[in-house]
Amino acid sequence: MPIIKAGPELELDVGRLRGERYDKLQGQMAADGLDALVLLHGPHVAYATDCLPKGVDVTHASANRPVAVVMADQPRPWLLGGEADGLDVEAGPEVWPDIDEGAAEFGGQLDSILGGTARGGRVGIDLMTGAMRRTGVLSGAETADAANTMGAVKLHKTIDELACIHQAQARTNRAMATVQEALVPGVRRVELAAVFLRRLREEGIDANMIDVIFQPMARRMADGPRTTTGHLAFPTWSGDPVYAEGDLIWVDSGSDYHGYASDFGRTWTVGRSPTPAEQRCFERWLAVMDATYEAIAPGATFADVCAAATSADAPHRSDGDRPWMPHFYLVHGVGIESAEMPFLGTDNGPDFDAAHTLEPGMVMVLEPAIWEDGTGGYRAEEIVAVTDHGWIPLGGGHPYDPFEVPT
Amino acid sequence: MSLHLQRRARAVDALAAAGIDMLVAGRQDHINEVTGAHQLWTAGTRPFGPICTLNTATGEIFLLSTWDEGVPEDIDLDHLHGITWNGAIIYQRLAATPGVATAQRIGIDAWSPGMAGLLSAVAPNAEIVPVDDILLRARRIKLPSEVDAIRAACAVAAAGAAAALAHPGTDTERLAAGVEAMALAGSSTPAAEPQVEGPIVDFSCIRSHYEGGLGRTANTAPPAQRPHAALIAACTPGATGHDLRRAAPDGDWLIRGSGMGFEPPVINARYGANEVLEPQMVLSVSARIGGEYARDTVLVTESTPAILSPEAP
Repeated sequence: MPIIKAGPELELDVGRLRGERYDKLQGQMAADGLDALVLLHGPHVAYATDCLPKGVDVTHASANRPVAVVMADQPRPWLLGGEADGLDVEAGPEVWPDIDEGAAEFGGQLDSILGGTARGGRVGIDLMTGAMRRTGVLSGAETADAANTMGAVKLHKTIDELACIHQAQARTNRAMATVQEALVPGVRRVELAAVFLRRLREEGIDANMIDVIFQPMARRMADGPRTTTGHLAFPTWSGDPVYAEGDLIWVDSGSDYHGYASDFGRTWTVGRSPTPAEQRCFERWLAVMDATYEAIAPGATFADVCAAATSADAPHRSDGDRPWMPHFYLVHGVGIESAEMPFLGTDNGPDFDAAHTLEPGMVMVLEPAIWEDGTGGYRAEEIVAVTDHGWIPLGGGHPYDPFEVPT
Repeated sequence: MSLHLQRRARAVDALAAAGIDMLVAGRQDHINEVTGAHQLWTAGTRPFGPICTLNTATGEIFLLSTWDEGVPEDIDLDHLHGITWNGAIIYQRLAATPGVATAQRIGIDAWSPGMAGLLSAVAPNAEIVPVDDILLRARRIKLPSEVDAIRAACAVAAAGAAAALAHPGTDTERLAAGVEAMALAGSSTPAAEPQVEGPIVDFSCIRSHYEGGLGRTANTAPPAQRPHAALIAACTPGATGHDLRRAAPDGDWLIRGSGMGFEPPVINARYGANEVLEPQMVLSVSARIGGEYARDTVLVTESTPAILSPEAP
């Protein structure tokens, strides 16, 4: 059984990371017929320039956001605003595209960078603020959705992108080990969050991207929140529950290292060992993971992987359901976004899963979930990267305590 | 009336006055504003997508949420759309939303080429109009319970600032201590990035949808002698951006709205000369002169401005 023990030796080479991403981006722009890219979404700006997103509220991330401009024929990207020190960019002045006065100025700056492209060229853009629409920014250009270009370049990770995800995950794992020690009866969610946020900083991670989730799970779905799926509600709003002995806690978090996200998932019990019934859920989860790992290889279709996971749990089921939450997936990708392609087992449906295949460089977060109504369930997450021949684990592994892996 | 229903009424009035039939919102603060839902906080910018619709004629809301946890009772389960990964489902839902197909003017809070295509497909006759400015303008004048929520958030941020000021060690260690203390005080979600730079600290948080924050310098001067003192004193009804520039210190300074996060107006040496302050606006007022920095969250009143952030963190 490929329980993950240790990650590969992955060293981040920042210069290579920047260079390879920029080459891929310009290559994809050529394929998409774009003369320029204008990027306002934080992770996209980071991809183009290495100016990293901050772990701040959306309103602050938007207010005087850095903007990246990539020209098809220029060797370096433009970075307007943000902290350009040490980056390989053409630095421009701070911009405020979310307010009308700022957007008008920004439009002028864009025109001077884009030159003739601003009049009749084809410009990929990921987002326009209301102020940009009101002030007619890029009104002389043909605009295309940059989401397509960005989706294509980020799908296959470079070795340095893998190193970033590996580091993000390893550091999050270490922070979570401290948090788990603090989980005792009577502790409140904010106390766990406090330990986690402090430990992340100590691990050199300053961008926590999701309000960390320690969700106590109702043992019967009928006792939990109502859902559109008739299934589990997870991850809900955090609130501030107090944990009691015997609670079953589903844990989830996501924090950036050098702009790349971790994704930690585990199931913890409070103040006691798992019951035999809870342990059985964990062992079903392990069996699903084994089958999933077994099925992951370049060329396998998304449907192949989903079928392997589903078969592994079929002996325990009469409901025909699949061993993951219906509003989510068996697998999602991770990178500059906490969830990105590839998605396996979503509501895109069986045709989508049959039509897509795994390819080297894809990074996959496996997150099956087992639920036995009345008992509760087990859910955890592991990250792997698809390689030329199979896959490698990222993050260096983390124990499943207090659940026991059978020998 | 509960706070979120007052906010929703305020937004509906402003949108309807601008002839908007339907709001399609994607940014979390706008979603929180009109729905009152407590949804999982995530950091950073977001691509634009239709997370919430609000029909300004009927008040009917549809919200992207697989569960009713955190969703006010006035939005029924049958008005929740589960999380989807499928563009065709997003299209079908929008097309089926009462009022979308017949809308004359649809308001959006951001724009992308892909979403513009989607909206013109489901509402071919509608004019698609950015309304972020309308929503944010309506939010400028705070309701009394909003001021209470901001004051409470300021107290949480102050706990972070106090811990960082008191903690020995490197800036990184003091920052970690501040972040930990702010979480213990009730918020694990920052507004802006916390700052610890030698004697200078700045902490802010989002607590129950509202932002609070402050900045201090260790062993600081009394309030009246701090770098932002004259700016705060100038935050009176009728004061314009020009007036505030005249009151500004010879250093870095910024006045901006603060409520459900960062809000307009933005007033500094470059922007906002024609803005006019009104009672019940809440502002973040900051200034730095040399090694001295201070920031407070300030309520504009009919008379002297009221400082909502605690004096001694």
